[in-house]
Formats: sequence, structure tokens, C-alpha cells
Amino acid sequence: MNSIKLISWNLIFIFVLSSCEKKVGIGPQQKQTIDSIPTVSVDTTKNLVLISNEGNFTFNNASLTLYDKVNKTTNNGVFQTKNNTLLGDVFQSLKYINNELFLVINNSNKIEILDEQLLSKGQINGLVSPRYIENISSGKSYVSSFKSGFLYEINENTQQITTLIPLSGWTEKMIHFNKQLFVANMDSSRLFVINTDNNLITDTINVGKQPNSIILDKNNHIWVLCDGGFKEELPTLWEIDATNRQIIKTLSFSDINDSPSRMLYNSATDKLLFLNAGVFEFYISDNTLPTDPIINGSNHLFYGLGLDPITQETYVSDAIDFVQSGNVFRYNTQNQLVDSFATGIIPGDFLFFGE
Amino acid sequence: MKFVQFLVIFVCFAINANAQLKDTLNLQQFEIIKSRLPLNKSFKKTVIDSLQLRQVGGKNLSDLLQNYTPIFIKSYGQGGLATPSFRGTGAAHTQIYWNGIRINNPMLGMSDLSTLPIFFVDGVTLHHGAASIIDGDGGLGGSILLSNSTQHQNKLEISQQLGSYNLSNSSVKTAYKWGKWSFVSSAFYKKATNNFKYKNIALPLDNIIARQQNAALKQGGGMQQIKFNPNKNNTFSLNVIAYRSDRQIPQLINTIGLSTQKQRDESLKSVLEWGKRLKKGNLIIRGAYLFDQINYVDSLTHQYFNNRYHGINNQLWYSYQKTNNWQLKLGYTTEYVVGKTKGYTQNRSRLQFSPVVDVEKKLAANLLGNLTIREVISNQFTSKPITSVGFTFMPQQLKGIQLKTNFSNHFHAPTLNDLYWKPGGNTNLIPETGWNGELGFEVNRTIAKNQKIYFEITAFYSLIDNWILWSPLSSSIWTAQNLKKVRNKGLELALNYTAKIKGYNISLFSNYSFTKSTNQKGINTSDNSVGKQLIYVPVHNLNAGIDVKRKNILLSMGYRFTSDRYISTDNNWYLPYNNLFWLSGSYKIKMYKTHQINIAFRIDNLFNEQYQSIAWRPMPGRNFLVSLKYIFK
Repeated sequence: MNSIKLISWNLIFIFVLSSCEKKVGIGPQQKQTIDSIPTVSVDTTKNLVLISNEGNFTFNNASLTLYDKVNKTTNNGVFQTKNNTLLGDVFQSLKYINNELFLVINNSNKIEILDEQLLSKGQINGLVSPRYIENISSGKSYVSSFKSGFLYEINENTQQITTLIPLSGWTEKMIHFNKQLFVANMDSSRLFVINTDNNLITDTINVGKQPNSIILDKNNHIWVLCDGGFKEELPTLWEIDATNRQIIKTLSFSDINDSPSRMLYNSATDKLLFLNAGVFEFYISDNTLPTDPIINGSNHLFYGLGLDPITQETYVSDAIDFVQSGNVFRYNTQNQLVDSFATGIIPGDFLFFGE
Repeated sequence: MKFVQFLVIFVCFAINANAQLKDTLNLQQFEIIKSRLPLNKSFKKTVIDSLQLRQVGGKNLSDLLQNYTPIFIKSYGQGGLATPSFRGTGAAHTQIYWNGIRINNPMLGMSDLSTLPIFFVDGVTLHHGAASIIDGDGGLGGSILLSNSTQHQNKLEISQQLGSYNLSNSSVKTAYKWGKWSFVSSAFYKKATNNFKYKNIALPLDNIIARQQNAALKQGGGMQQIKFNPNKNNTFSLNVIAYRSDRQIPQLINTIGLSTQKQRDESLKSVLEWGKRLKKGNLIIRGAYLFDQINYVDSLTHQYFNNRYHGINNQLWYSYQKTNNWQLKLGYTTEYVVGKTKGYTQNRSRLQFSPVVDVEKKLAANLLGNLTIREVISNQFTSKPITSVGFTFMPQQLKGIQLKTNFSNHFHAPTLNDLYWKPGGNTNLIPETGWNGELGFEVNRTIAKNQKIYFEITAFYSLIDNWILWSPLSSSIWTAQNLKKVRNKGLELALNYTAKIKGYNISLFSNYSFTKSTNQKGINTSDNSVGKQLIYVPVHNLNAGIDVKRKNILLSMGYRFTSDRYISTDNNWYLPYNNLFWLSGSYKIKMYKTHQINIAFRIDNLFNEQYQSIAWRPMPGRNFLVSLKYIFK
């Protein structure tokens, strides 16, 4: 009995002492912010570049970076600073539609909507693994998806999903022309053509393996860049007439180890820009693919590519090891390095105000 | 703060224990809690005693290792994936053996500790670092040995446990001896909803208490052991276990929407063994068949994966001891595995032969030397022999004190997924290589009548090169490459004190490890991870506990501290440290000589600490377990 008394006194001791506790955070904490510059205001939006940082898959550390071109200042984690909440998991892409910013958060199954002050105006939930958003007209936009097998039609004004269009497999980037939406399908090597009035599939166009980028040029020609899968096929570049959907030409890369991506269109110079370890450019009038990069990618892991429509400057992101914070390099029209800055984890997509 | 509290409590217990010396109590004779004695070699080993095994009850192997050993466990949540890490190495660098047979999944390289039913295990031993070489290849960090005991008396055990979050664990075990045959059969069924409450820090308002959803677990299995002793020189035994785990996989706490992911693990492990005592030495011949299958389903996205493997393992062991002068161990293992999954373009197999020689010899009056050489011959990779050289210095004047050191080289083969997974598998991979050096000091003494102390400190230093990492070659293609170079250095401390004072059996244990595990090689010039601590490797890991037993009552309490863990390779993000306390007790009622009832309780996370082991995966707060066991002998 004596022993039990002693033991119970000891237990009381524990509970009494435990009342004085030190508060420690729960969950991931950040050691230091990458920049020590106060929040940049969004008044002079023309000077600003927004960069999406994917974050690590399932780590919930996606973030938004704000870069001031004129002052060369960076502000990382700006969504969290302005809205006092975390952005989510895997920030795939961003788009500017009718003075609103649409941030597609792939693994949080949502699109975050911000005003020009980067304050949250709401979310569109219920989207399964959304990837990219394409706006057709006011109240009519489409969202592609990685694993749901659907293409979503949404009303970006009411923040609601209008309808689900059953396509099969992984849908990626899209462009639209003349009431038709061209959707790249990554696992079946083709483009779906959808009538935007009735959401019916009117046609499919066969292209190469994994069409990861699609753009529309000034001649209403669609360009599709296919990376060929994981050393399965040679990567290819396709030119398709958007009016009659006929394939005009196909160019093949020479090395099966190539993996070109992030194709962009410079409408001022009629050049295509893409990543293939380094940065390459191609005039839409060319008949052969470029052999030498305009920006060398050795010693980097180039992941994202951006083009400033006003200044024609090129922005390239380096994901380093896909786990730590990345870097962005900014080049002028002579392809000389103008600036470089650190961002969040896995910087991927760029948005220039005014595009 | 909590550590200070614990020290205070511990001191109180110690004071109370001494106070009992004045009492004259009627003592009962019962077994002293077994202290952990290592074997007389230059390696570091940890043995978990049977009492600690029984105390963990309805929990699993990862809970046991976290609370009683210095190794670190990464846990995805209650009932979720749990993997071990010795000295800062990866999960695949820990080899797990069941009755001598390697049970790591050859496709993944690792073993999920949360699905291994601890109920079927009678003993757990850890071999740190080079100590794993005698067991097999690949244990760059170490190996965990699970074993079934060979001695049984007629017994029937029925047990029922109930715990927080709708945990129910029912088990039955029978042992029967009939002439030269003995049979042990056991079965269990466990289920839990794991719908614990946690603070959801991913939501804007920081006082939102949410309930974990879609985390339920159902697990069941059976084991049959048959042993035949025709004469005192021969033993035949068959050991078969089969079990299945059905788990729901919860969503990350920041993701809106219910998770529709489920996983089923099915496993069959069987081993047939013949042990023979020869005129000179002992011989063991083993044949084993293993089968493991993982089915993963996501009903929302209609994703379905089935990954399975078959394994055949044959072993021949010969051991001989010449009094106290030298001992020899020779072994030969053949392992054949076939992996099947839609991630491979065809079924992939591996065939491996591995002879090993282990010699321990007395070199001088105070000095023992040990040499182990293992060769691995495989159809998939070329490897160098694995060698370890060690010395143990035991001064005769100082009884129970040892100084030991060993140096070794080792390797870890690429897994089937690293080689063959489409896309990204790389058949050009070479094995990861490691060099390890250790220095240890050990004290094992009886300091007074019925008081024993065991103290060990081991310093280690190892380099791992060509560590395989899945990394992108260019922006969109991830592939397995021999990329990383890691340096692990640190200390492991173990303390064990047992005393039998006036009818009280007291046992105190503590483990501490200090690990600096740093990345030595950058991927490119911008890489900020060079020189930084690897992710999910805590620098400090400490656990401690005390058992007090008197007559039929046992009371235990324990503590576990894990320091901050980085979650980004540039060490910019981290998970804060955890302090976790547990308390348990049991009461034994003996009736009519042959019947016995044990009532036990356990409280984990006594102070309801909110914490995470993996980022964004919450862990349960204070949780309870009560168990009732009926034993008939």
C-alpha cells in the first residue's frame, strides 16, 4: 500500500509540473524567409512578374513569388503574407482573366482566385487534380485535369463548376480558336477538339507522344510540342492549321534523350521558345529545328520558362534538386544575364501583368 | 522543460526505491527483469526484452522501436506507413530478417513496419552498422532481426484489447507439446477507425479541431509453428505466417475533399529449418518461401495498382566454437525473387548467391579479434566483397569493461524498381557503397547485490557513396541515378540499470543517439543542400523508461524526445521537436495454479501533444489501451 501511495504522489507530481509548458509550433516551420524586403504593393502592376512555385508533392508548401522588374526586388510567399493562410499543395499554373488572378493548385483540388492586390476572392473547389485554365469568354472557362478523366467547364465569375466533360486520361494545356477548344491529351498522343457551344468532341488530331505544349500563332496555326515520353519516341514539333485541322508539317528531334517542354510564342518576333535542357528558339518560318541553345542549361536544371511580352526578356527557372528553393534567371534580348533571384520550391510558371 | 520534469520524476522514484530498504516485506520469488547483455564481439547490438515486447500490446513494431531503441522511425500516422532509419541512413538501408530470412520487399527495398504483426514475434534484436554483415548484404545502417522462440510449454492464451479510436485487438495463442512434437498456433484480428482529433493548422483559424478521416485499419492473420525433436541432436521446425492488412489512406490535412485511397497488403512467409548438432559444431539448413502483394485503389480516379513478389530463400549455416579460444561461422545463402507489376514491362527477377565467413579469435589475453567476409554473386550487378575487421579489448583487471572497434566496407544493391520501373528505371545503376568505422566503450557490471548496470557508448563515422536518388535528368523525366554522397557521424548511448530491492524489481533504460548526416555532393553549382543535414534525420533522438514491479503489479513510464527534423534539403523548412510520454501498468491474478489473468493499461502521448512525424500528416493525441488476457497452462 505504501508503494502505491508513493507512486500516485509521483504521478500527481508529473501532472502538476506539466502545467508549465512552452509553446512550440505544430507542423512545418520555416527557418528564414528568403528575402528580407517588405511586401511590395501592387499599384504599378506593369512592373511585376508573378511566379508559381509548385512546392513538394504532399508537402503543402506551394507558394507565389512576386518580382519587381524595375527595382529588381523579390517577395516570396506573398500569398501567405497577404491572406494569412497557406496556398496549398502543388501550384501548377496561373492565369490572368478579367482583372482576376486564377491560381491552379493541382494537389489541393482547387483554383484560388485573387484580385489585383493579391487578396483572395474565393476558390473553386471540387476540381480533381486541375492543371491549366483557358478562358473563352466571360463566364466560360475550361480547366484540364491530371487524373479525373474529365475536362471541367467553369464559370469564373460565379466561381462554380458548370459541367464535367468526359474525356479520357490526362489533359494538359489548351488553346482556343473560332469556338473550338484544342486540348492536349498526354497519355493518348492526341489533341481533342471540342465545340465550346455544346461541349461535344468534334475531332481528335493525332500527334506525337506526350504533347506538353500548345500555342496558336498569328497565322492561326497551332504548334504542338511533344517530348516523346521517357526515351520512347523521338520528340516532335507539329504545325497544324486551326481552320481545317490539317497537319502542315512535322519536325523530329534527333536525340531520343531529348525532352523539350514549355513552348512559348513570341508574337512580336514570330519565334517559338522552348526548353530542352537549355533554352532554344525557332522561327515559325524555319524548316529545321535549332541545334544550339540561346541560353546554355548545363550546370542547371531548367524547369520553367517565361517570356515578357513587353520587354521581350526571357526568364528561366532552375529547380536544382526539386526539394530545395529554386532560382530564376532573367536574360535580356541579347541573351545576357540581367538578374537572378531565389524563389520558392520548384518555380514553374510565369505571369507578366499585361499579357 | 519536459525533460527536466522527467528527471525530477525519475529521481523521486529512485529515492522511493531506496526508502523501501527499511521495510520488511514478505517477498515473493519471481524473475528479475532481463537486462540487455550484448554478445562478446566488436559490434553494437540492441536486444529488446520480452517484457517490453508484451507491453506494447496492440501497437506495432514501429511503436516498439521508437520507445525502446535509438533508431528513428518515420511514421505517416496512426496505422500508416512506418520506416526505420539507423544512423541517418535510408529506409532501404535497414534489412529486416524474420527467423534468418530477409523480408524486405525487393521491389521497394524497404519493409513497412506498420504491417508486421508484432504478435507473431517473440524476440527483436538490432544489429547496428557492420553487425548486419553476418545476416546479409545491404544493411548499410543495420538490420532488425525478428525471431520466434523455440521453447514452449503447454499453454493457451486468449487476449482482448480495446483502445482509443475504436481499436479492438483480439488474439489467441496455443502451445501444445506431444512427445517429440510441439505445436504453436496463433491468430489475431485487429481493427481501428483511427479517427483521432487534431488541430488542423492548414486552415486559417488556428483553433480548428478536426477529426482524422479515412484512416481506418483492419488487420488479421495466423501463425503456425511445428517443431520436431527426434533426438537431442536434431531439430526440425516449420514456421508459417500469413496476414492481411486493409488500410484507408487519409488525405493531407490541407486538401479539401475526402480521400478515396485504400491499400491492401497480403503476406505469406514460411520457413522450414533443420538444426543438427554435429560432433564438432552445429549445422542449420533453411528453406523459405515468401509472397507479398500490395493492392492500391483510388476509387475516385479509378487508379489501381497491384505489385507483388515471390521469393525463395535457402540457407546453410555451420558454426563451431573451440572453447574460449575461437569460433567460426560459415554461411551460404541463395535468394531468388520475382517481382510483378504493371510498372515493369515484364516480370523482373533477381538471383543472388552469398557465402560468408566469420571468425572470432582470442589474439591475446585481453584481446579478441573478429573478421567477417561476405561475397555476393548476382546476375544483376557486380560487387566487391563485404569485409569487416574488429577488435575487442577486455582488460582482465577491470571486470565487465570493454573497448571495441570495427571497420568495414559494405554495399546496397539497387532495388527492382530502381532498375526496371517504367518510366525512369535505370539498368545502368551500380550498388551504393559504404565505409564505416566505429569505436565503442562498454561497462557491464554488478555494482551491488542485485544491482546491475550496463552502459555503452559508440561513436560511428560512415560514408555512403553512389546513393541512389530519383531525380530529374531534364525538366520532365525523373530517373534513378547514383547521385548522392552522404557522411554520417555521431554517437549512440545506451544505459540500462536493473535492481532487485526488497521485493521491488526496478529496471531503467535509456537510449540516445546523436546523428549528423550531411549531403556531401551537389547536383549543380546552385545546390544549397551541400553540407546540410539530410531531411527527416533528427540530430538528437532520446528515449528512456522505467519499470517497477512488485509482486503482481507492474508500473512503467517512459519518455521520447526527437529534435527538429528538416524537411527541405537546404534546411530552410523543418518540423519542430516532439516530447512524448507514455504510462503503462499491469496486474496479474493467479487462480488455481494453472489459470492466470492479466489486466493491463497503457496511455500513449500522456500530455496530449499535437505533433507531426511527416509534414502535414497529423499524429494522435492522448490515447488509451486496456487489455485483458487469460492464460491457461
